Amino acid sequence: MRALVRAELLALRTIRMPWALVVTAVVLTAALAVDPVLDAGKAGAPSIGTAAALLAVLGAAGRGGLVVLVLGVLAVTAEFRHGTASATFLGTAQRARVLVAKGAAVMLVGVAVAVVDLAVASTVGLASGVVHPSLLNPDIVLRVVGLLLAYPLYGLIGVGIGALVIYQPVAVLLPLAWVVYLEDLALHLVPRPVAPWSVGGALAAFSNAGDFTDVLPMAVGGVLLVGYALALLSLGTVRIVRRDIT
Amino acid sequence: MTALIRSELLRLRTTRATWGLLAAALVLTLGWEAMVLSGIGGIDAPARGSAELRDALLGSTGLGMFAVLMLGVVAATSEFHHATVTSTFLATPRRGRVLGAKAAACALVAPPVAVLLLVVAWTTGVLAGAISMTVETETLSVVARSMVVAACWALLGIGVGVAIRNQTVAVIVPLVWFLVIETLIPAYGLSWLLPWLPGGAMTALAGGRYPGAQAAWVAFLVVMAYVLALLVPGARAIRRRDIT
Repeated sequence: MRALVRAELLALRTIRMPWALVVTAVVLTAALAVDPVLDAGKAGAPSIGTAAALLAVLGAAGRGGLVVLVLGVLAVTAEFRHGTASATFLGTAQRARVLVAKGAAVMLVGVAVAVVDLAVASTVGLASGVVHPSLLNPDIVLRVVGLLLAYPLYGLIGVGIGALVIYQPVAVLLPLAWVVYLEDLALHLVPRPVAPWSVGGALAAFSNAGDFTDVLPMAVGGVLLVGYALALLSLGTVRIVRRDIT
Repeated sequence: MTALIRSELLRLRTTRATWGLLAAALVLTLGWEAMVLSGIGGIDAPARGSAELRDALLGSTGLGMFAVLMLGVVAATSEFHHATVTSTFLATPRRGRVLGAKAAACALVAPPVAVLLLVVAWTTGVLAGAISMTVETETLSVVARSMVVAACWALLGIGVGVAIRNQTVAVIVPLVWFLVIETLIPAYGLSWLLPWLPGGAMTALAGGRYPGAQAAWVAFLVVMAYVLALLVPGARAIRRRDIT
């Protein structure tokens, strides 16, 4: 198993796409972190020196998880896109192990990207004076920790979706569109108590968000996110294991 | 050229992606419409039977236009994705004509899709008792405008697909552009740029109002400039490229 994870890490390290994605995550985080700094003090935006501005800047690290999600999807679908899946599954006939190794490798990369994104957001915050040690309190620390721990879980969800829908463009577009846009739309159409149990609701709970109605406790949010990830990964594994590979 | 366009139309008609995208457009439109309908009577929501509500309901087809954009992207990139482009270019060695036929086919297909979405949205609104059954001249002008808008979305999709070619990247880039980058623009004090960006121009063309929005015909020219700016270099690159 260790050898498999190392092989996956080698693959991620030596192809261009993961690096492009990491750069995307950094640029996205920087852009989102600078946004509240530029807006500070203008209509409706919190001023520098308030906890709200600090949360907005550190919260910029919360969107980079989507990039790790895409990385997870690509880790699986690229094998089918380029036809290397045959060789991979000939090398390791137990396909489930390959998927678990991919999940583990993407989670490790997710942690690394989370650290980089936190560093980027903190740098913007410290340089602009928005992040000040006296403003930090346990709730804010929990929020940042939750946002960062969500990265590897996003990656695992990506691997699950990639295994489930191996057609790369669809597998990439669907979860992104769902998280960014479609879930909000869908939640308008279902009874209100469902919302906290959605992916966005679970993430809000896990990242200690204060602006989500009926938010679940942090631990429940974490368990729910892990549950979503494992459920998708299991379904994806079942699908891959029984699939004809050409 | 007519034969090429006909074969592109045949391909659109007989591949699953087209119908999947059409279904997605319907679901997105109806989803948005359901949200508008459920908001009736709420704060700031347009009243039952008002012209604002009619516009809001017909406007829900705007979300479905994203699927039309994707139709263009997929039409331009799927031959590269599935490597069928080799035989296509063997049969029609003048590659520019193939790309032109794809653009024409998508521009032909998009307006009827827009009309279908509008009919569905309007019928749903009437059935829900939210708007009256009389068709006013404004409704017809919305239909005409939407047909042009849909063709523009499809052409923009073709442009993105031809310029990028990698289907996965070509599918994500518009999503990120319209949902992330253009929404961040005002925060950076660049609001003056918005009317000149593809999303801002498409909004103005569709009749959306915001500070600095161009007149519809200027917005149309801006969109066409983007289509050409994407399509011409992309087509040049494809013409000179080794196809395996």
